[in-house]
Amino acid sequence: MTAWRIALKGLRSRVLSSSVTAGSLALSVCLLLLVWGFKAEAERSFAAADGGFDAVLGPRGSKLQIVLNALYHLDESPGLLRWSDYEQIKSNPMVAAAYPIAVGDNYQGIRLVGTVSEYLTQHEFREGQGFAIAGSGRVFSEGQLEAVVGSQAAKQLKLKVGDTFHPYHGLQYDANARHEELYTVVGVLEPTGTPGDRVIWIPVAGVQNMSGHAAAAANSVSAVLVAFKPGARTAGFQLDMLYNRRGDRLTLAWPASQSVLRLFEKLSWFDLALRGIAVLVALIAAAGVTATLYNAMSERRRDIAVWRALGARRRVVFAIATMESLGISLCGLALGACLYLVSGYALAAVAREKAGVMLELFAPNAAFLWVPLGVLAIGFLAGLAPAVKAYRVDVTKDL
Amino acid sequence: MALLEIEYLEKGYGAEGGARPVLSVDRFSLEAGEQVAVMGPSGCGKTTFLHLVAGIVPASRGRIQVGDTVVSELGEAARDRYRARTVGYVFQSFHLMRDFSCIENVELGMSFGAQVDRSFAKSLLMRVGLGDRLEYRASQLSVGQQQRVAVARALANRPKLVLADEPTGSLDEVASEQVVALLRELCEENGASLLLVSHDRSVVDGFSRREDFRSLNKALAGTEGGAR
Repeated sequence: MTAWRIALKGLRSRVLSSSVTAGSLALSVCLLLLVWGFKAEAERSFAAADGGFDAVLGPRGSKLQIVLNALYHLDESPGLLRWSDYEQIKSNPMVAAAYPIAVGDNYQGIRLVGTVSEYLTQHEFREGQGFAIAGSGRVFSEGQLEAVVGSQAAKQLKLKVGDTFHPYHGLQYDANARHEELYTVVGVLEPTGTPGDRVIWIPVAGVQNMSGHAAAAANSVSAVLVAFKPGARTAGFQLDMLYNRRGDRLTLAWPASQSVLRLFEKLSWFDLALRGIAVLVALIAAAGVTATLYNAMSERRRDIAVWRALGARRRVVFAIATMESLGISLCGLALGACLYLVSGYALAAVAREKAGVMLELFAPNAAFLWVPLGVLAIGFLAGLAPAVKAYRVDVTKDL
Repeated sequence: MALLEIEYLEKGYGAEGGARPVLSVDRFSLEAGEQVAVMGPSGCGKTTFLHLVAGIVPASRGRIQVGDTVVSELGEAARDRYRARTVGYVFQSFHLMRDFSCIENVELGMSFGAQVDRSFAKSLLMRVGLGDRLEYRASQLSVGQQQRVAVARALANRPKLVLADEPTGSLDEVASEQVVALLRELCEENGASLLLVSHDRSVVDGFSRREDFRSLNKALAGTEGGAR
């Protein structure tokens, strides 16, 4: 009968109160891991999902909206820029590649994104990783009513090579807003783990000249994705000066990923509030541990006196009481980790589906070290008062 | 050879052990393997006497030696160690852990001093007639069975000295005889000395050596009660 087993027996004899206390600790662990660890991973993943671009050029407006629209295929386009603006930045000697993005139509709620075929054939969305067409498909031909479907979009819409569809006007599906053009699927992209998986790619001229679009659209694009030449360290500064400070018609979102990080910064108060709630829950749970064990030690004074009469030293009795509080903390920690896994997987699935961003639940993060240590420390501290009470049991009075 | 030797033992409470001791025993000894019954009415200090011998409370004055250990000179932690390794204790109210099984209760008796030896714990329970109730919880046993578990627990750490404090106080006459007989047999089989205190003459009468605690405890002179 080791001290651990005696502590375990004590916990099992109060299974309900021990479980409730461990449950509240678990809730706190889950919240802390989600708010701290998961959020950091979300920031990292969003920042990493810049699609291999350094900047996004869009109409005058919010950088965040431009990036969300052009890179993450979220939010609406803030407006249009001229085709000549695309050609001008493309010909800039510091720019390695520039691809136009034109949006404004959907199919069954899935966004149609107009671009040039080079984007799908030449661009690397990650170092050494370019888009690949699954099976016998191919990239669309410019000027044709052809489409390449992102892997997730294809799965969702059950589209395959050879299928046809009519685009619908706007970014939200409206059955009455059907365009007359009939597009044929010529390729399905292999999964990339980027927002590009969630959209249907068509030639930019298709969006520009879609029936029912304003005449101005024929010579316009929504944004331009820009990659600087390697070594062009000052490119961002120079283009920022050109478009954002001297010009007043266009906006350069640079660095592209920073715009999204600023969104997270803006939400930091919410993050702080959630962390506060999580810590509060942990403290309430700790108070529960203290109350539960303190009462238990009061009820078990006679048992403790017997242990002492059988030769248990005061420090052994203290250790048994401490082990009980640590036991509750460990259970809370394990349960909290399970809750984190379940809720984390659910949230990661939502992020993948809605934003095309891949979140890793176990990406290295300080939270995975500090949250368990913190919970164990809280458990230890919460067990101190009951342990001292056990330590002080008077054998002659309590036998 | 004496296992237990007591000289001018005094116990008092309050500052410096109190002006007037509640227990005062000039001399008492117990040979190795010997069995002694000490009789006295409730409140005459028998339990305090056992607590002193067990090292549960420190003596105010005097000397207690068990084997080579001078218990009265030990600090609290050392007395705990001594008790865990040398003493077995049987309480009047058994004091078993209600949520523990029989075997766990016996193992508890060896948890604080020696290595836990499950096979020895099993053999003790079989010896006291509870071999078929190893996994029963204490709360599922009759009072007689509970005291038998308590007897097995007292022998679990292979003690040199077993102290029994009114071990039959909660039992009927038949169960009392059985438990005392079992306790004496087990002590003999395991080479342990037995110091039993009781107010029950029928329990004490079975012992060849009997002591009247009213004669031993000089602090009772001129009083009607005294210590516990």
